[in-house]
Amino acid sequence: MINENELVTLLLAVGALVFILSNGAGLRRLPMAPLFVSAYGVLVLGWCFTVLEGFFWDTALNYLEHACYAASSCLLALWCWLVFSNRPQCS
Amino acid sequence: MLMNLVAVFPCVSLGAMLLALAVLAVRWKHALRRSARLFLLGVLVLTLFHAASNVLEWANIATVLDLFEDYVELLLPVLWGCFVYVFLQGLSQHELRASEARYRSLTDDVLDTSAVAIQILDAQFRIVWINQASQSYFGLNRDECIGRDKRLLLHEKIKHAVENPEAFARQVTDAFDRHEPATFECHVLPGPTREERWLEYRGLPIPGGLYAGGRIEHYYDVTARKRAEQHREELLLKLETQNAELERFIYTVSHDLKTPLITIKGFLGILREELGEGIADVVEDALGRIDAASDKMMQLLNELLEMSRVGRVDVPWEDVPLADVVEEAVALARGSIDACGAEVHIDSGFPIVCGERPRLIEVFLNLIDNAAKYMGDQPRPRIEIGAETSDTNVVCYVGDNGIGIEPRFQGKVFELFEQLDPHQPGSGVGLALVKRIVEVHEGRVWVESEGPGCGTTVRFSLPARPA
Repeated sequence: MINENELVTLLLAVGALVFILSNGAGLRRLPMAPLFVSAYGVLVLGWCFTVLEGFFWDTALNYLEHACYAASSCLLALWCWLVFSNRPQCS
Repeated sequence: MLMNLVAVFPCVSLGAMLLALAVLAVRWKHALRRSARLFLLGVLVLTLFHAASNVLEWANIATVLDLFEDYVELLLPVLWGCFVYVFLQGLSQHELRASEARYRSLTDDVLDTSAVAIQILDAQFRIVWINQASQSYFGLNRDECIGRDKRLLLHEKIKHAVENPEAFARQVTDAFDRHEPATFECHVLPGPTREERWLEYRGLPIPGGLYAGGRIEHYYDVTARKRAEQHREELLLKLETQNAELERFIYTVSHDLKTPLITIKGFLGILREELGEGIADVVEDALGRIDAASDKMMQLLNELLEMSRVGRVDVPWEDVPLADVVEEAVALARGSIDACGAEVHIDSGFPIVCGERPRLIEVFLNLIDNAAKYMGDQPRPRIEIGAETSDTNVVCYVGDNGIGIEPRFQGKVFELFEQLDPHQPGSGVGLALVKRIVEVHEGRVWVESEGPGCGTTVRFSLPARPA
């Protein structure tokens, strides 16, 4: 069963991902940019699994969805730690 | 088991977000711009909210958070995108400011402090920018110049700072019209707001970019070089004048001294006749010494007179076959050659040069005479005469296997009245005369000898005859 809210979230997430990737050159100036983009990529993957679990393998995909959320949060926290704890002030 | 794991994930997420928020709170101003930090804070708070909501859902605890969960999920990707957008905007502004700072530093700290006056013109020859040196060299005001047509400014103001203003303006505008590089010199006259200077103009068309079709003009301050050149010219002129005076003096002295000398010689002859045969030995000896001294003085004066004539008397140059010159010189020097018993070897292949034939004979004659005179007690005396030709000059040489010259004396042999062996006959004018003749023929002369007993070779160069 498809949830409209989840579908709209996924569309917005993919749109934001396209925007992020298309500005890859500028985003490279962001400290630890690969970690940051990975955090967002994993989050988008989680939203993908949310939508897909409405069609098949609901239990496994739900498990993967929450795993992705957790992984994304960990990567984001790690990024914050590295950028704000260890690096000097930048743009 | 699987359900338990699903419950653990939101807890992990919750913990990670709490840690991230704590880091952000403690090190708030440590990284990123303020607007980017605010959006990041939003991302962290919403992710925390999302994780907390999942935890509560797993625990079957219904709260007010459930009402906002859908909105949170919608907002989350938007906030991520906004964070990236704000970061990129900040980056652009930062780069713009950095670029402005670089440009300002380039103009204010580098180009504006340059000693070279720089003027940049656009395709319509309007002044885009001039540096401080441009202002001071021409007494201009940058604010009044920027945006104005250089051609108008040239006629209104710039050209009046320069000697020959019309010629200067024409040279500059011609360079504009031709769209080609141009280089010339101009003399800036002193004025109330400028100093006297000599400037070298170098204008180049700008090939591309914002000011394509325009020009960049440089004015290099060459005042020091110009003043040095003027000083050198003055010194040369002074030297030439002094040389001419010296030559006139030598000529006059040597010419005027000959007259009383001839009188002395004449009266010496009369005295001899009057005294007759029976004069005392001491008188005969005294008369002989006076006669010899008079002859020596006469020779000296004749040679000095000859030397002063070289280059002073304007004789037209002609094509002179050096082979004939050498042959004639050897014939004239036959007496000295026979006296020392030297064998003369003359190389073939003498070229034709342009010059004064009698003077060139004199050069070879002097050198052959000298070679014969300084042969010493060489058992097999030999004199070699030859020439080596290149594209630009001819190097002639007269070599011998005589007594040679110590290296420390080699520079002195061409000086006037310089005789390395005072017991040898001669006045010390011969090689000085050779040097003078060769220099008048735009050549140079030098001596080569490995030392006493090793022989000597005198070489002199003459310009090759143009083809």
